Amino acid sequence: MIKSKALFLLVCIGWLSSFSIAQNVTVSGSITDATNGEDIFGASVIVKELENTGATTNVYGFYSLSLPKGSYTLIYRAQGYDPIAKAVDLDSNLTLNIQLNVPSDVQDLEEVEIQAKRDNDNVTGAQMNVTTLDPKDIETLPVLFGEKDVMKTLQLTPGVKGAGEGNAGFYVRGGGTDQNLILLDESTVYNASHLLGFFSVFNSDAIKDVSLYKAGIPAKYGGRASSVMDVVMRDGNNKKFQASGGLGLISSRLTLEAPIVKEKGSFIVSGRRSYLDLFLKLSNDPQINSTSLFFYDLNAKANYKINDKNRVFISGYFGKDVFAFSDEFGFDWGNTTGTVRWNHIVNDKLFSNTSLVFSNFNYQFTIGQGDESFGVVSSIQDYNLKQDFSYFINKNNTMMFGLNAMHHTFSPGRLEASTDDFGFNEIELDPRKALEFGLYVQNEQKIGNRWSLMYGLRYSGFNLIGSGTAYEFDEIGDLVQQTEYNNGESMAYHQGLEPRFSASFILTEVNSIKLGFNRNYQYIHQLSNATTSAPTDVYVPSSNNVKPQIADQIAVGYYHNFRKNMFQTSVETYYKAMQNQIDYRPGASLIFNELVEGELVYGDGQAYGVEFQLKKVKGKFTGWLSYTLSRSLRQFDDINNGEKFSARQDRIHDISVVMMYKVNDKLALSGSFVYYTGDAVTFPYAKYEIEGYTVGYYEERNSYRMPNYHRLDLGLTWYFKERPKFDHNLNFSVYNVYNRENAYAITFRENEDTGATEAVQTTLFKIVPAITYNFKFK
Amino acid sequence: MKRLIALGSLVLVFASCQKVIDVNLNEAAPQVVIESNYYASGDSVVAKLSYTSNYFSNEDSEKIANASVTITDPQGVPTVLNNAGNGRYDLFNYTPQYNGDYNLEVQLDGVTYSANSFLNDVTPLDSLPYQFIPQSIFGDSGYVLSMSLTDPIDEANYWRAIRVSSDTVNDNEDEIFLFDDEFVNGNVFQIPFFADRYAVGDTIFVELRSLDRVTYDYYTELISVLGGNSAAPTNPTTNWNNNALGYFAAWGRDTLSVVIEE
Repeated sequence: MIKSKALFLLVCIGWLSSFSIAQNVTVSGSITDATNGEDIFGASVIVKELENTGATTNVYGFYSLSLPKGSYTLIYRAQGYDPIAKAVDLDSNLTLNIQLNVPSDVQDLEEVEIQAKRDNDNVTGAQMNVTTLDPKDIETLPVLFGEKDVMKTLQLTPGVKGAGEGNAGFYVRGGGTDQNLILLDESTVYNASHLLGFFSVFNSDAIKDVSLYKAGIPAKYGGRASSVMDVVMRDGNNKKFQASGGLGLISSRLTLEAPIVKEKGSFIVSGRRSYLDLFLKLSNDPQINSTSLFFYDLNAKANYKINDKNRVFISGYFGKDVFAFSDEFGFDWGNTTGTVRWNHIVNDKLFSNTSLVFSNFNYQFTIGQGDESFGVVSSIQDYNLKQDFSYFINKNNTMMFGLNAMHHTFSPGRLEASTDDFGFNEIELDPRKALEFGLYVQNEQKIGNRWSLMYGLRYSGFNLIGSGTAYEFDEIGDLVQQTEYNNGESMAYHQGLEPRFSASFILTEVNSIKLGFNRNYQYIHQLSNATTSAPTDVYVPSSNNVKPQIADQIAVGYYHNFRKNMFQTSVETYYKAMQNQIDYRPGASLIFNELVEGELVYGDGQAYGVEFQLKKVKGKFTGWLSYTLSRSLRQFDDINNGEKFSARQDRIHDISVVMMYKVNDKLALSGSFVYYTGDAVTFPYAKYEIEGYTVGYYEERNSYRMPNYHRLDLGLTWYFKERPKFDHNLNFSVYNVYNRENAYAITFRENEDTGATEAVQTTLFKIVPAITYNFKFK
Repeated sequence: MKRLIALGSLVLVFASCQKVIDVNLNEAAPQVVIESNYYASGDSVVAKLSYTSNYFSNEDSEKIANASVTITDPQGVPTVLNNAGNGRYDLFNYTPQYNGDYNLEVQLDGVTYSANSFLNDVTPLDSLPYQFIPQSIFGDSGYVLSMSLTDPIDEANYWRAIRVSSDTVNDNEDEIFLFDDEFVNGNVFQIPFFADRYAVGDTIFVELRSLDRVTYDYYTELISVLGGNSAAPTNPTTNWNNNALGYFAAWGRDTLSVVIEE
């Protein structure tokens, strides 16, 4: 309670300090793309006459800049667009909406210089350790089966590591796969994978941009310990109808977008479906031709500008995977999300957004069919009400503050039978309900020409609410007591203060040092003790037994651009300490277990590393080279005799190279290469026999390594002659060009002939060529 | 789950592949393994002592023949087991005292290994009912056998069932079949061998072992290690001290057999 009062006070102080500097006038408005009306996030306006004065658009394309009265030249720019200069006489508040065009071939010299001067945001911005990708920029990159995938490309950037082939998750700076907050238009996506993890649920055609925060995480985000991946859907073309799509080996996709009322509102609908199952039908093998295996997803979004001050958005995502084997068993899972938003410009300086967010993730397992079947159904459902404000105090201060309350319902499992032949009709594990909320304030401040600061505080709380049963366990995990709670009664309460801080110190225009600190609380935990991750992983909320995970991270980086910002280099180093990490008792059973909390043990983690990146951002040849040297360790009283051990994702060396070369207007080539130290695994040290079974003898946890992983992918995109109304291209890609047999799993077995024990490596993908055809009606 | 994913990926890729590879496993110092049972219903005690062997070794493990093994009954009376050679130590005509704690002690090269196991009363098998199940998604048509027993009230019970039949089709017979009374405390209940299908004329012999908690947990963890899908396999928790592997279990059993009739 005292903490929340302190937070309130902080907000008030922020307000007061802004009124003391009220002599200025404000220019505000939106910055959008001239061709389709999409908002541009992170576009900037700078004042030619004043050094180091400017503003940046928020995620809705809104900017606000306060200046002393006078005449100025305002320069509007954004990466990938031609800058525009506007002369203004400011004697009262002014609304100026700007549309930026994609670059024409002829640029006058002055413009080029201006652009060059502002292409150093990576050096001068306060936010550190954020990676932003625009799907347009990576469309030529080679990927598995030619399915372009922003998540897979993010895994090629330093500090971000894919959990491996056949795994949906990714690791950020030594954190676990459940420690990443994945948001699609503010809605939590619990399982971001299709086809058992081979593809992400994000259809690139429907996505405007993706930002991944690894450190110095802004205070508006909360709920996960390691990172935030914020995916923003496109708004749709508000000027004219447009259709685009593609035909690929695995799936085809189609996107339609059009104005609702020209320049005032638009919609976009983008769908994708895989059709591997159609090929399976062609097989002669009855086992295979009766198998279905497909996914589909649909993104839809509409926005409407009611007037200059008010705008509403509705967006949704529906995706599902279906896997059925010979009518014998079925397995499907899917996410549904929905977001309703209202943007309101309260005044020239205060921007408000109110969102109501819905998210549902569910999976079900069915064995049998019709009258003779039973199945397990499990889900998580969230409702979230959010209120966020951006307050553009003056040219040096931008404050963000807001609050949210999210209601979770966890249904860990319900066993349903179609008949009572099995001895039961329905067995259900108690659903759990919880309220998670956050309150934050953050200020971005420039001090002089050299310092940019971002400091904020988030207060988060998590209340597990009845009805339900709270279990108490002894130190070996046996149930000792249980307490029943009534509907609405508080079962457990956890809370925390999360300071967030980022600072950059500009040495020269092309050199800077940045520092970041963040503390994050995580109240929802994903349980998985299998070697492979699956949509059936169990989620548990914090309770009387399970404490929130806490991660503290400090990071320092040096940034340097050269050749007129054509090359960007960075060195970032970090140390992350994690508390209340979760592991499992030997032989733990996690699925459909009422007493699952008794199977858990708790410990600490630490991760540290240094990341180097060299990036070329302009010219015909673009791409990056990155190298990460890092460790990720865990320590549990109950595991490994209390000694530290490597986390599975403790990949010491990690190299990625990404190259894109635009040969001419018709041809683009691309390639990517990855190399990393094999995951830490537990293998036996010796063997013995018990009752005739050969049993492995284990000493240390995760003391062995999988073989090192490396792979080269190549791609080629051929652009057909562009017509005024139609545009198309053909993309060829080869995954794993030199046919490396990377290990997906190593298992041990007895050779049937000799009886000797042998190790067997499973490889999922050898060389995989693919072809995709893309088109666009304009 | 693993099978599901393997299947999924197989279908997906058409060409996922497996090959035998060399893995360099560390050489561990040999560890003492003591697998020992007091077969109370048969009045006999058997302990098998050996060392762990190289994981890829094709040879039999090295047996421990120079130990001295002693069992102590609930009254504190020790009895030394005979060294039968080849790592086997045994004792016969050793009458059980149910509801009592037994200790087994192994003296080897100056180290004393000790483990306790509680000998529970034997839960009787009431009957072996069976029922014809038509062909379904769970398996072929055939007779499914169940055990019917009455759970002793006011105590936690842990059982292991062994079944041996004249029918060789059922591969599941060598699985470790465990169950407890967590959900059936005090009831008369039936536990089916759901995966097995028997035919008319089959004779099935069923043995129901009444275990103590420690032994039950050992088997539970053993199953998990043998299953091979755990990301972090560990040695099953044993009742031996001084890092010996294996277990000491004192248990009694009840048996019944049945011939399937039409």
